[in-house]
Amino acid sequence: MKNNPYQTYPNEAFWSRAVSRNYEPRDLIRTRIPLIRCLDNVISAGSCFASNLVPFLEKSGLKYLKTEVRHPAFADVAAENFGYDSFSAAYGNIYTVRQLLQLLRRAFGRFNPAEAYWASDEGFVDPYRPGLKYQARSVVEFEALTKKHLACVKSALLKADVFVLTLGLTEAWQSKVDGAVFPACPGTVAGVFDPSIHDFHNFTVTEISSDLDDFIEEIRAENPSIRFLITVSPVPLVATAVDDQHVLCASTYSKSVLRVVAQGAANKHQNVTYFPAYEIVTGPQAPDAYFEADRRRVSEQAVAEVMTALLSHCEGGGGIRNKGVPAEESSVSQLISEAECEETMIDRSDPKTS
Amino acid sequence: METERMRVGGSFLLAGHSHARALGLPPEISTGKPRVAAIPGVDGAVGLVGLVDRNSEYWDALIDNAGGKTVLLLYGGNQHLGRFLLAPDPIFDFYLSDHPEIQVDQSAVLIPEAMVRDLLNLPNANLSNTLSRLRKVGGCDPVVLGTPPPKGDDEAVRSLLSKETHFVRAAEMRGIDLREVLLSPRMLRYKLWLIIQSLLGEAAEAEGCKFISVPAGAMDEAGFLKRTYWQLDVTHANEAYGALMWDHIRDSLEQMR
Repeated sequence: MKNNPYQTYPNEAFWSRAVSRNYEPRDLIRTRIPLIRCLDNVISAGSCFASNLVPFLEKSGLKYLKTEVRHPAFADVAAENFGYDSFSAAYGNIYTVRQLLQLLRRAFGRFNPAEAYWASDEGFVDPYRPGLKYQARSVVEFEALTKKHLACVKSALLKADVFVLTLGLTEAWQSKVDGAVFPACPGTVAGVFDPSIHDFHNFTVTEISSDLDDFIEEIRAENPSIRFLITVSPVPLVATAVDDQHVLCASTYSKSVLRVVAQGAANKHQNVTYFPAYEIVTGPQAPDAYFEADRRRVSEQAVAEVMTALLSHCEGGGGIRNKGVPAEESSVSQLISEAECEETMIDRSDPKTS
Repeated sequence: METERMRVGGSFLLAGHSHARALGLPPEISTGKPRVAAIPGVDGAVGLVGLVDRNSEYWDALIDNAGGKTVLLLYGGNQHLGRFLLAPDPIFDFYLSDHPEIQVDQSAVLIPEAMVRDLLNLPNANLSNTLSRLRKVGGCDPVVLGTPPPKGDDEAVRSLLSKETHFVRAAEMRGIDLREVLLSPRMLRYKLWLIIQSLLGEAAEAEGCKFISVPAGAMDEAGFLKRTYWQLDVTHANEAYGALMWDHIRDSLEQMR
């Protein structure tokens, strides 16, 4: 055999030695330093899958930073919808990078969307958090609550040492007026769809890469030492709005774009690490049981596998030694993946998903 | 006043929680089944006496005795003080959509009014069901009554705290001295009371029942319970308030006819 470069590569570079045999999810990432240290303030954002990670981070002994928490005197009332309470601030699911960039710019007072609220019989709906259970009952209250929320977002962004970002979707509905993107199509969770002011957009690799670059640079202008762990959600699309596209093909395109963007950011920026949750859950090596029967919802077993792999690269091993998920986390995971996702509201007319 | 009260007439059944005491409902019993008792000094009015815990037996008894009666229901009305008379940590405040003129403490944690309403409505879970059942009783006219406004004199309220088992226990659990305890801002208590009145009115309206709010004469200029109507505890009103309410009930029902 002639000498060739592959002869010097480690086992992980070869499918036969690292996947067909000896597969270990933690080996998918190679790092000499902990991804998250014990004293790091960790924040997270992203799609539904991102909220699955939060209970594990909180239980692992790492510091999951929450700047917007419910007042303890109100513990007896029902929890917020759609996991708004799950994240570092109550921004809920953030499906697209444009939505994330928009949130950053709103928090730092650099963007005010033209569609500030939607009036309804129940109150004033936040188009950017349309599923909020506790809606404002007056415009003045809406403005005050939004101001408070954005201050909490800003505080989280400024205090964070590590940002765990899960990229979820490329497809979004946006305002024709100022390009503001909505987490859910107007008219699905709340509001009314108006084709004269709302339209669909499927973001490209170039657009999302640009948005992510802007996000990283703008946040680092305020918080220079923040580090990023970027993942791609393995959860397929609920539905696509792309003409003549099968949802499976649209989902593959979307995840492919996001995977390229994530790698591009990791290659381009210091202290930006891609964490292969997507590969762990969707790769050919993944067991059938990593998806539920609908082949969309990621199982608790899969989430546990991802988090075990991630936390094994964190200081102290993250505290999760067993791959089994505690009952409490199981229910949280299932709740979130099954019901607490604005995206699923697109398909609520289908009895199988509603 | 006694003569006027005798003219109330009609066929009233007074029921509900502790604020009914000011209107003459006899004290709670410690054992036994709910029973109907006369309301002293009010002609044609009886009250449903029961255990302190108004359990399902009490509400069933109310339904059983409501036929042909105007049922005057005092439901809850202490939840704002039970939860928040002692200052919550941190202090919170909220916008009140029905009273935009009331200021919000900008240094306090802002809570959605909708969340405050949900919390204060928790004890009302059985109210709608009770009203619905009463509406189905022949000849029954259910009327929900407003509950007394909060007391606005903090020092006087503080002096009464030690007489209340609930607050003594709450203070013990929090390891605080009732003599020095921080009370919630009185405007917060007032706003919470306003929400409770809204919730009672909405529950009545939703079931097609009447709601009679507290008369303006019971309140001082700031909306707090006038000192002359204080029962000597933290939350309740006295017999004079009860007399005022009976007159107000009579007038209100006449106007509603």
